[in-house]
Amino acid sequence: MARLSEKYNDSVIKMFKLLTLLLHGEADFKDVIEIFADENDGVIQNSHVILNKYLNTLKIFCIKITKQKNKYYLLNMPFNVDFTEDDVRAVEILKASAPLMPAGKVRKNLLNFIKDIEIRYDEKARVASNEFAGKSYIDLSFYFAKCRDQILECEKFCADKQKLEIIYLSNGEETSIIASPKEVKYFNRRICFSVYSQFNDQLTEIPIDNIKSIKQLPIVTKNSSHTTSVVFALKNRLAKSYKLKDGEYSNGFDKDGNLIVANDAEDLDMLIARLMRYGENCTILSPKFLRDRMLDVISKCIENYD
Amino acid sequence: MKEFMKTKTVTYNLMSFTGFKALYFFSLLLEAPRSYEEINEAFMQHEFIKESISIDTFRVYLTSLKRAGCEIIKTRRVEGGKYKMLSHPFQLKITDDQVKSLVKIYKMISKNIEVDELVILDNFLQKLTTMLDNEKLVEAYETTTAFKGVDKSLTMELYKHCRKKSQITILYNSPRNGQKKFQVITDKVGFSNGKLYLYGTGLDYKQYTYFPVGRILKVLSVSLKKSEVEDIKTYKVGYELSSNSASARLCDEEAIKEIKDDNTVVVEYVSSNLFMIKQKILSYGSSCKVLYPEFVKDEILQTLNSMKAGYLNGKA
Repeated sequence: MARLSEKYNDSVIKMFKLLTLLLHGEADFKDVIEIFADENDGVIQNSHVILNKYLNTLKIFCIKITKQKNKYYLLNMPFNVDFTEDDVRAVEILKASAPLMPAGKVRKNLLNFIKDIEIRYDEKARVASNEFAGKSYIDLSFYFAKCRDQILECEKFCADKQKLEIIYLSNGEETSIIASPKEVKYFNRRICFSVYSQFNDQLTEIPIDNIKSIKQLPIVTKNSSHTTSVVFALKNRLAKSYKLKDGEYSNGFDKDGNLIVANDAEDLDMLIARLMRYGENCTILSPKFLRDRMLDVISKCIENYD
Repeated sequence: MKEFMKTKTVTYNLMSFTGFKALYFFSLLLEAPRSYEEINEAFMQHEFIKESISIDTFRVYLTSLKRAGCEIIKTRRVEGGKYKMLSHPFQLKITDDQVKSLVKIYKMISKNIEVDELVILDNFLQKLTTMLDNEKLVEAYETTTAFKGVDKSLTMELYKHCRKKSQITILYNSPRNGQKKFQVITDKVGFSNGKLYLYGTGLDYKQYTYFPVGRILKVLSVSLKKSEVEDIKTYKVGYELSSNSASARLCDEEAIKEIKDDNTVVVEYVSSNLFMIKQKILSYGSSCKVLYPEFVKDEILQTLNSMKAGYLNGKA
């Protein structure tokens, strides 16, 4: 005979098993009925009656369940989470932006999580959700008007994790690169395919509409990637007010009061464009090739006025 | 069933009364830690159950809930010796893959939604980090949030002022001069290079200007009447740009004036802040050539020559 502390009630276990199964959003009838099969011989003859008893119990506990085509759907949870109206709005924003993701695992993960949240809405959140549904305005038209196929293709390359040979337009000239896909990056009115080249340890962010062709190579990319660290000096007021960005670090000021910053997370073309903004208050110290490239950009700018 | 609903008397044939009591037991522990006495009292007071629960049955329910996946502990006597639910199978959880998806979508949309919507979304993610007890989510949020070092409630306050184009006085923590007051006719709150700025017409220097929101300490006052700002000097700067750069990188103050046959466009930037205009021109690099006015052309050239000298002289 089991000790009292080991005794448990089978009805409780079945009730929780049923709820846990339903919590996944939908449950096949055969999986549901199996919970109520005879433990010894697995016979499910009377299981329908028992199942109905349990479904009635849940109904009395205000848990709404519906059955459609041999599947059970849980419509609400009795154990809600306190979500405010703003939380519901945030969920609506996430839902409205889901189409930005390629149809696949990544989007499915997000939608499943949203479903898990929504099932825990209380009545107040449910009302707010109905009110906000479809009203969150996120303008995806820029991305989808001309780049949808390219976005989806690049997302697939990222998932495949194979090296790529990319031909793209850089400053009006066709350029070729062999690199590993990293991610598709969304900027305001601009989308870039971020790739990492092991050849020169560089991250490159290629505007997606500048890509002419991509060929997948039969080489799997390595997970680790070390990008080139760019070190630059900031002078005068900028040195005092500069706020380090993601992927930047600094050991402080040099003897002349210049702030020395190391950056290893930014696409080099974008970094050059940003550092150009700082004018004479910024100088690239290393690597040499980038210092030379910056000097070349400055010289070409001057030539514009010859 | 009908009979049950009408008389509120349990008909054992139509429902699992034990299952119902288990759900109630579970919901009581979910609300707060409870003692045996409190649960017993709640059972007796319940409109359907209306009966007490023995200590032995109470323990059977506890064991059953534990077997069903609930983590329940008994608190120390000094804490009341109550039963406390630490976790249960119906908790909202997030998988590592879902964290990745959430971060991905946040990064995607943060540049394309209004600041007020971004604050709401960011607050929600922050709430999830405290609610879900998932280290990966906490780490991902901390590295991804667009409001690093920025007070979100202050951001919302500034955003609301911008909607009304209010004239406000802010307390600004200047890196050079310490705390200083500025009067601004607000225009917009927006991101530039991943940093959040308040844009508006600064009445102290009489020009369109911007302040990093992270350095604004608070809004000191809101003027009921806006000051007349007629004597603000506005600059119109025209430049030639390769059309490839233009379509993607123009800001609100830039307008395309002419599209040329040689794949270039003429852009005009109108602003009272010449510094902002010059910064934008420099960021375009060699794909940009200033056309007018002459003095801006000279200043840009002077800056470029000074930058070149810095590199050639090998100075930092």
